[in-house]
Amino acid sequence: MHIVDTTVIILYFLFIALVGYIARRKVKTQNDFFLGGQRFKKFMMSMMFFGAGTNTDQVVAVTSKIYQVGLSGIWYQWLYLFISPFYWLKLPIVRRLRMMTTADFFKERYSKSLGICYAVIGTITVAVNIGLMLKGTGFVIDAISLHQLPANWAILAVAALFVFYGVLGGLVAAVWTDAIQGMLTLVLSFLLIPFMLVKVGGMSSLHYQLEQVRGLTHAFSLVSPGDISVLFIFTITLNGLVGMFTQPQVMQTGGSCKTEMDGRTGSLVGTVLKRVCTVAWAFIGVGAIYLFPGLSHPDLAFGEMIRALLPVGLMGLMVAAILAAVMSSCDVLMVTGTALFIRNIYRNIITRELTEEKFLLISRFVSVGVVLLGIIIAFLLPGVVAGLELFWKLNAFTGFAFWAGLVWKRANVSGAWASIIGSVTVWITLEMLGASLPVQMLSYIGAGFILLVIVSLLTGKYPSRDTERFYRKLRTPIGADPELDVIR
Amino acid sequence: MMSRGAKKRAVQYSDLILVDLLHLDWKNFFKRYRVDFFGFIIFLLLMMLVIVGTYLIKNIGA
Repeated sequence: MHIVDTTVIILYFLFIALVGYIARRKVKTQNDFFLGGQRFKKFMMSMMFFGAGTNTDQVVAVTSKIYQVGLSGIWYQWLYLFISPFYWLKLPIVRRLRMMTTADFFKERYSKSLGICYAVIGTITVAVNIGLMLKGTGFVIDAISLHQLPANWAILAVAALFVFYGVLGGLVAAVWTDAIQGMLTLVLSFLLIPFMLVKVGGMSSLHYQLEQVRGLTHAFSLVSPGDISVLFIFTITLNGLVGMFTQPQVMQTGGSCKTEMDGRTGSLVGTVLKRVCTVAWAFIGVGAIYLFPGLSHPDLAFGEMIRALLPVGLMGLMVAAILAAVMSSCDVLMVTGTALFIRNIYRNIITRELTEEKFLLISRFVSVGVVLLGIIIAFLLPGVVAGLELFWKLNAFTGFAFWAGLVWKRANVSGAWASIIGSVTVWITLEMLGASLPVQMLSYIGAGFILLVIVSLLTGKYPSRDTERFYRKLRTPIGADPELDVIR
Repeated sequence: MMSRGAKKRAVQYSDLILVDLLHLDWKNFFKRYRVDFFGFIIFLLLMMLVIVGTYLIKNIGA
C-alpha cells in the first residue's frame, strides 16, 4: 500500500479515537451506555439507521452473490426492501415499550425464562452478526493487500479497533461515529462507479461484453429462475417481516431517539440511503463479473475491484471507509450483546444488585467477551453469504412470539415457547436433510405460527397486572405518564 | 354480564396500526392512524422508486 494511503488511514483512526474519548465523558448511566440517554434527533437517527445498518459484509455479500448469479443477487440486500415501510410503524412501538433490550420484551410480556431464552438466542445472533461483518472486512482487506494481510489477521485488527472506542463510550460513541462513518460509507458506495465505467468502456460495452460475447444473459436480470426466483424473494421477504422486531439491536436503534417523529424520520432517511447504496454495490458486482472472471472465492470480488480501480490516496480513503462502516455497526452490536447478557442473563441468574459504576465496569468486560465470540464465529464461517443466511434464520425463530405478544392478548407463554422450540426443531431437521433455503424458511415460519396459535388457545389465558401495564405502555407516548416511563 | 355493545365500547385503541392490528378502529381510521398510514405510503413509494430507478439504470446501454 502506498505511503499516502497509509497516512490517510492513520489520520482517520486518530480522529475516531478522539471521538471515542470525548464520547466517554458523556456516559454516566446505563441509559447513556445502552440507549444514548434517548436524546438523538433526526440527523443523528438517520445516520445511526444508515451507519448501523450498513456494513462491509453486506457490500461483500451482494457483490459476491451478483458475481455468481448476476444482478438478481441484489435481493440478498433488498430482502428488507418491501419490509422497509414497516419500519415507520415499528419505531413508535419500540420507543413506547421503554425497554433496553429485546429480551426485556419477552420477560415483561411473557416470563423471565423466556426473556433469558431470547437473551441467549440474541447474544448468539449478535455474535454471528459481528463475525459476519469481520469476515466480510477480512476478505476485502485480503484482496486489497494482494493477500499480504490475510483475512484472519485483518479480522483481529479490526476487532481490536472497534472494541477500543466502543468499550469506552457505549452507544454515545457508536452513534457519534455512525454519523461520521455513515457519510464515509456513502463515499464508499459511489466512489468506484465512475472508475469502473471508464475501465469497462461504459454501460453499453458492459452489456455487450457480458450478454453478447460471454453469453451471460442473466447478468443484468433482476430475477433469475434457477437461483433467485420470485418464490425466493417472497420467502426471504416474509422471513424478514417475521424477524423484523427480533433483531437484537432493535431496542438500541429504535429506542434511542428523542421523539417518535425523530425516530420515524431517521428510519426513513437512513433506510432510503441504504437502499440507494445497494444499487451502487450491485453494479460494482456486475462490473466484477466482466473484469475478474474465475476468482478463487466470490467474496473477493469487491476487494479486487477496489485494488484494481482506485488510484493512490482514494484507496486509503476507501479502506478507511470500509473499516469505518464495520466499526460503527459492530459497536452498536457490541453494546446490544452486552445489554442482553448483563440485563437479561447476569442480573437474572447471578445478582440483581449492581451499582451504576459496577454495572458499567462489568459491561465493558462483557463487551470484549461478545466480540471474542464474534471473532471465533468469523473464523468458523465458510463464507459471507452462508453467514448472512444463518443470521436471517436466527432472527425469525423468536419472531412470531414477538408479533403475537404485540397484537394478540390471548398469546401466552406456553404458545411462545412452543413457537420458538417448534421453529428451531423444524429448521435443524430440514438443514440436516439438505432442504433448500425457501423450503426451510416456509416450513419453520409455518410451524412457528401454527404452534403459537394452537398452544395459546389450548392452554388458556394468563391474565396479569403486568400484561395490562404492557399494553397501556403501547398506547401511551413517552412523557404522557411518568409511572409508565420507569424502566424496570 | 357485560352486553356485546358494552364489550365493544371497552376496546381501547391506540394511534398505532400494528398495536391495533387485530381490532382496528375502521370508523376513525384516517383520523386515528394518519401519521402511521401516510408515512407508510410515502415510505412504500420511495422503495418502489428505488426499484424502478434500478430497472432504468440497468437498461442503460442495453
